[in-house]
Amino acid sequence: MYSQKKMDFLSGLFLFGLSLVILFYLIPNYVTESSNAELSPRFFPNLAATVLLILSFFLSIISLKQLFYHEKWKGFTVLFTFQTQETPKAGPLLSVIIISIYFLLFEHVGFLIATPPCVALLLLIFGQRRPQRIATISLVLTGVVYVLFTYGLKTILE
Amino acid sequence: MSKRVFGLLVLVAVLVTTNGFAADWPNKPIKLTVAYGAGGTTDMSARLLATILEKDLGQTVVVQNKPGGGGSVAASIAATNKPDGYNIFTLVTAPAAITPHMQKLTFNPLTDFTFIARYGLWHYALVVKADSPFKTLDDLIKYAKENPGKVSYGLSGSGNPQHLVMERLKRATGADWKAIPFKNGSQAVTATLGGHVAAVAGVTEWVPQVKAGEMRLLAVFDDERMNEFPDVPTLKELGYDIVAPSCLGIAGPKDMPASVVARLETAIKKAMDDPQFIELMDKIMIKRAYLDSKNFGVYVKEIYEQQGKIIRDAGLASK
Amino acid sequence: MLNELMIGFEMVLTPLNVGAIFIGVAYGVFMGAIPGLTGTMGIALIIPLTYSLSPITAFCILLGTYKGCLFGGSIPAILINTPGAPAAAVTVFDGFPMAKKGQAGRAMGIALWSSVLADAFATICLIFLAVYLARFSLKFGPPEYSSLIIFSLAVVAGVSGDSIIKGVLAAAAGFLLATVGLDPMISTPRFTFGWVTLFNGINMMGLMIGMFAVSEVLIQSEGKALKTTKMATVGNDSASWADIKYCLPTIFRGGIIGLLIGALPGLGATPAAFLTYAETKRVSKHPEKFGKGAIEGIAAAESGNNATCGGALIPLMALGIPGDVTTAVLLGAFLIHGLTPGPALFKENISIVYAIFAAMLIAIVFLPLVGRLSIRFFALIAKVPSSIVYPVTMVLCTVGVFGFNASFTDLWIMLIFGVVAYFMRKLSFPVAPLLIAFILEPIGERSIRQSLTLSDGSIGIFFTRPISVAFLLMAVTAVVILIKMKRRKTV
Repeated sequence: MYSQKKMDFLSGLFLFGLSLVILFYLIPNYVTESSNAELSPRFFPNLAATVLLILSFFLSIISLKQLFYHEKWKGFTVLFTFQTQETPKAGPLLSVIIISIYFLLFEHVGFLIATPPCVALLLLIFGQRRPQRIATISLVLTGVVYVLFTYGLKTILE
Repeated sequence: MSKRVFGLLVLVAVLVTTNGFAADWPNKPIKLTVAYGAGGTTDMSARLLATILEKDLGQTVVVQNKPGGGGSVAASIAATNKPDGYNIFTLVTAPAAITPHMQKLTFNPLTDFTFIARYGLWHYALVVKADSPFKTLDDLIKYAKENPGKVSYGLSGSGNPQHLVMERLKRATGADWKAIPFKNGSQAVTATLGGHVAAVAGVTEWVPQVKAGEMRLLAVFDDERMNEFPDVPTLKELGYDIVAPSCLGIAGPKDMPASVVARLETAIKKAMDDPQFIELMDKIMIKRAYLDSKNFGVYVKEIYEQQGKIIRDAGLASK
Repeated sequence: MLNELMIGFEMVLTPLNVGAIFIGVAYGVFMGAIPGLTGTMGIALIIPLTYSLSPITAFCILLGTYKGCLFGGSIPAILINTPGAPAAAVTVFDGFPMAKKGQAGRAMGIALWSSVLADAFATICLIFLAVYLARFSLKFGPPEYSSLIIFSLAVVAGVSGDSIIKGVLAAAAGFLLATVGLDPMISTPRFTFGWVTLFNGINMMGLMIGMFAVSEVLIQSEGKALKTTKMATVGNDSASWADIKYCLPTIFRGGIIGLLIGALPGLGATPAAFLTYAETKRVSKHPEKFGKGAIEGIAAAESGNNATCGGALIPLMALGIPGDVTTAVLLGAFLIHGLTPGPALFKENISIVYAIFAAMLIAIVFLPLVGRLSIRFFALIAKVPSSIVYPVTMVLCTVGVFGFNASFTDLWIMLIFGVVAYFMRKLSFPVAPLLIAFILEPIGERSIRQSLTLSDGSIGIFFTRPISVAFLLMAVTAVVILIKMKRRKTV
């Protein structure tokens, strides 16, 4: 409960900062203003960013209030101490790294070479330990998908 | 190793990598990038062209779609490809003549491409609903002059060829009309049918409705009358020297080997006489209009410069 | 009319044509079930193969594919939390919780029968009311679309999960993301950072697959004791007649909403599925069960989704206007076979029109057959250890999203939004409002700005047209009801 509220407070704060950047840096610099249209091209980006700004402010305030509502000091300590409810997992980070490498390899050396090792690594992360199974799946999958897309759907995978 | 042997090796290497592949081209599949999404008329014409080219060149021609930015996405990718003859793409009107004047792009259509052959032209026209009080283009112009801001017309996107034609007409006649851009031509046609806009300036999306007598053609923006609708005058005949720019051709990255270009050029010319191709192009209403490599380049330069001037005059150019 | 329909059936009921419908449906279900591959692409890919066929046989395959695809998207949505097509994102809400409870077979059965029944309803409406509904859809101009989108956004707030603030924050983010690309009215760049690839905005397929599928892969990779556990203990359960009967009112509602939304050019299946879901949740006696495995939730999503097929064919057949990308591709197929859809087709080739209607009705009969076979086949997935399913899903998503536009940028978009959605889910922000706002923003922004251009800047245009006023009033009502419901909950 407390750590949930703390996360809400922090994500509200983050979004608040983000919407300030969007409103005062990104929109003025990257959306061209135009005078010959009824509504400026900036109108809708500004509208959405303003909603983001106001609501993220509310989210922070509300979660802060709830944090201090019952026990003032408990909320305070939760807010200012670093305690993790669940131990951080390596899986997602590793997966993102492998997927990124996969996309890079896919682009530069092609689907057929990129897929088997990356699938094998992903299978490892997901807890598959039998080497034979890993090898079979990564190779068969690559082959089937390649044949299907190249000959069945006439898509170039490279 | 003696110097002579080394020199020979270098020579062989150079021959293999430059002349070598041009001579035995094509020895692997050729990739044809289509500037619009799968299933559209441009895609259909390119896919059929690819199958006919396949037979002629003896190599697979694979089609891939890279839609976006009115054709500019495909062109910007093509500009960075290797000019080895295995990467060709459909160069269409917007990236060839219009978008470069309106946006900052990563390519220059005049210098970054090898022009291979033009194979088609689109038909553009101004169309109204069948029960519209405007029987001729002059009716519409007269009304728009007398009632400034009352006439609106739909089109498939700001700054496309038909928009530029309407802007020039506005300038030439003083007809005060408003452009309402839609997501695509069919939605503009729908809005016209529903009476939400007075007319639609579009490519051939209006054919079903015109054939059914639900809509009426006021004028075509081509340089000659359409075969399918011989009664409809061109803008030129109505006294306005305005023709919509149009371009559908095959091009590649700059510096493609001349032999490859010549081989592709003749193959495309031959494909254009294929009865199946003629039939398809007629059905999807793209005019077959062949230009060889050299003339295609001249043509693109011509429409590029002409449209550049129009866009600058209309105040639509990027600053 | 019935007489003509009989002649249509006579034309279609040859072994070749019936076989073509069957193949089309099976191929469609398969294409729909692979994340990233869509009906549009499925149809576009087989059009060249139909050049040499007779028009009727060609349309048997194409329409079969269209129908198969719409249903196919629900299979991965239920089994692995990954919608096969954007509209199936709504099926995820209740489909995946049911699969987790071990009721994947039942969930897929409900999805199938809701699809079939809503589709049948919409097709019958298409056959008998096409001309009238087409005329009605023409009444929708820019102001009407604007108000309809405002109404949809108000209704969608109702599916925003537990916290309205977080739901609206997600929607605002989706709204903002949708403004990337060239301005819809004057084509000036917005947030493109000089990058041509972004001219058309952020790729919807990449965003959708990233937010649903990749984030799921990332969450599963935390490896909460799933080393070799089975996905769910499913496969043998199925939907009972009682389930279907219970969902009938929902399916009927989805049929009507899907039909009408489908008949309005430019909206598509996703808003129809969302609106049906939100509306079903609103009138339900147990709104709290939604999102936790309510069978009406699946029925709502799938009936709304599939009824758009009949709806989208209304403007295509009656007016010659394609309402979305899929029907635009179908229009191309008509042209290739020398047919011009629209009033002329009804005058000159009425037999073909009814043959197409007959083919659609036969396709509806095949859908449950193929559907049940494919459910049995895909239920095998549930028996595969998740340590294998998720890496395989990742590869399928990759090739699916890549195959869509052959764009590596789309792959990075998919990964980035996968990570974004991973954090959103960890911080309990709902993902769906972001997607629906992302889909609705371009239609809404364009219509509002078109309206204001037409009226020279006066907002009176929204309040002087009856249909527009009706939608605005409905939007206000929806917001009031929502606030009341929330208040009742908190007090």
